[in-house]
Amino acid sequence: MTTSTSNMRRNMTPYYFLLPAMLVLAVIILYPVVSNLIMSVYKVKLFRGAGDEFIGMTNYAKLLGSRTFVNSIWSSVRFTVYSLPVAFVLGLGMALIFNEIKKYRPVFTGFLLVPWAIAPVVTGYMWRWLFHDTFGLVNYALLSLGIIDANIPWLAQPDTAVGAVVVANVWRFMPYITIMLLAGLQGVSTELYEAAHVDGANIFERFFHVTLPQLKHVIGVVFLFATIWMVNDFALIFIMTEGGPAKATQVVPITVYRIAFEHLRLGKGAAAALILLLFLLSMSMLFIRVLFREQRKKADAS
Amino acid sequence: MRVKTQAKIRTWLAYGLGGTFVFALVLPLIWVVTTSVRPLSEMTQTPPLIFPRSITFDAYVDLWDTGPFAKYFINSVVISFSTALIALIFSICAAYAFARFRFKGATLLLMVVVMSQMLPGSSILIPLFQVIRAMGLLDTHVGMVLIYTGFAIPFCTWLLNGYFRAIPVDLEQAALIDGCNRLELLYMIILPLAAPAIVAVGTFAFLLSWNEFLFAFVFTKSQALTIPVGLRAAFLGQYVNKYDQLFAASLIFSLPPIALFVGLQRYFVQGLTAGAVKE
Repeated sequence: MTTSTSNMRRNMTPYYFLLPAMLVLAVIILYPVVSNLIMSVYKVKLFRGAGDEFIGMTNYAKLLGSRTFVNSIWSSVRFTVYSLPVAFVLGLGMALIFNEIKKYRPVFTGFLLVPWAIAPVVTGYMWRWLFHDTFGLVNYALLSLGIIDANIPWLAQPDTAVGAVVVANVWRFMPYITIMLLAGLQGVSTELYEAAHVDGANIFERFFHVTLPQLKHVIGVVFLFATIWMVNDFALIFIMTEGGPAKATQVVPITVYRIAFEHLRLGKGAAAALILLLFLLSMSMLFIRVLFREQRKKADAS
Repeated sequence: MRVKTQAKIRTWLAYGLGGTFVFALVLPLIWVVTTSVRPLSEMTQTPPLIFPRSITFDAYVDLWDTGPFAKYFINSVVISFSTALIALIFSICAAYAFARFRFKGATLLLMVVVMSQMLPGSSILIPLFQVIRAMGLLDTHVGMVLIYTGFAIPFCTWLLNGYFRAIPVDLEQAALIDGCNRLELLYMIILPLAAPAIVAVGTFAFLLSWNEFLFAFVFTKSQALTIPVGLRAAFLGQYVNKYDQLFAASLIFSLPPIALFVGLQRYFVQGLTAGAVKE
């Protein structure tokens, strides 16, 4: 009898420990996820009057037929697809250089962390100021170098605005990529590298056939995380352009915000948010599968 | 001898290129720093002056009394510290349960934690607004702390869980026999051993709320407005843009994250690359 009570008590202990965290998660994460799903098939007004009206897939149909929403998907894709390769190549280059630096490396990586540490909002204001058409450093530098002969209103034209937010985004994400790849490079076996050297492989062959394959896993993680973060960005773009001009930089999260809190269509906004979530969820699933498979392999090996 | 010279050149080249890269990376920030210390007249000069003619720290002084910045600053401090503390306590308990007990639903709950970690804020913005409004917590410190705690817990729990698991159970078993209860075990044995992870996780939760923009932007109006949202209200107006003060405030605001990142570099990099890098 006593054993069973103490067993019972022991069995309850973990739940007591979990309770506060799970309660917060339930209210802040789980309930909203479910609620979002339900809202997306209703017509929901910000200030509830007669109650919500069930309208099935109408919100989704409307969204997919809406120029603004489809355009915002393209804005998100553009933003990510332009930023990622540039940030990756620069980040990889930096990682390879930093890998040669043995003494004082923390000093270099310390500076590297700065763009990653500061708030996206600050990054946004900073680049807005740098791209300022009359007082900005970018125009001044390009003018002085003779590359352009008149100031460019970077943030006032669709194409250049996209370029400007991409530059700011690359600045912000490159350090993360460098840190990750630098950590990955520490695990690259030097024996293989030396063997390739002895076999007469040149520096490029060694890089593509020895270094890169061993970084595969880290590169996968970097691409997934960076994609998720970039697609999800709101602050940086909103501060720099507010999604403009002519909605050229209005990415999906900004559209979600506008539909819900400017046009006050909560149901439609929820549907847009769910489309975003489904995309990011499928990316995360992929990540988790890769991670667990890797761990299982490690467990089998040992 | 030739090999040695080659290696030397290679090292110097690395330092040169690395230094150039780093300089290019921080150049925008240097420009912002110089903007914050020049008089407004010099700032709005065409072409811009690379080196300010006169240096003034007026912006750093004025920003505290001309606008509501001081209030936003206090809001940010209160909300971020509260979030860090509460998220830490809740996550430590949850992680301890995952690391030390076998119980029904453990895998499922851990999956929930892992999945929540990946959940983008904008995807639940709208229902969350309704939740916070229904609780009467719009534009309150409590509401913001609750939201940030919810978003901090998954990563904190996940990281601590991994760390706790690596601590041998022998110590706890000995203490259990000595009559300690679970809370005492956690407090006296686990916490001191897990100090580095706890510092890292607390920093994470602090910075998450310190730097956050979207929720603060949608859920606060004035009472609980934090710096990321308040910068515009305080310094950018329809007629006057106080760029010097905007950037002075931005830099003050950026100091804690920079200090924490650089100071805790080692833990931070470990946490960031945990699981991503094969050992």
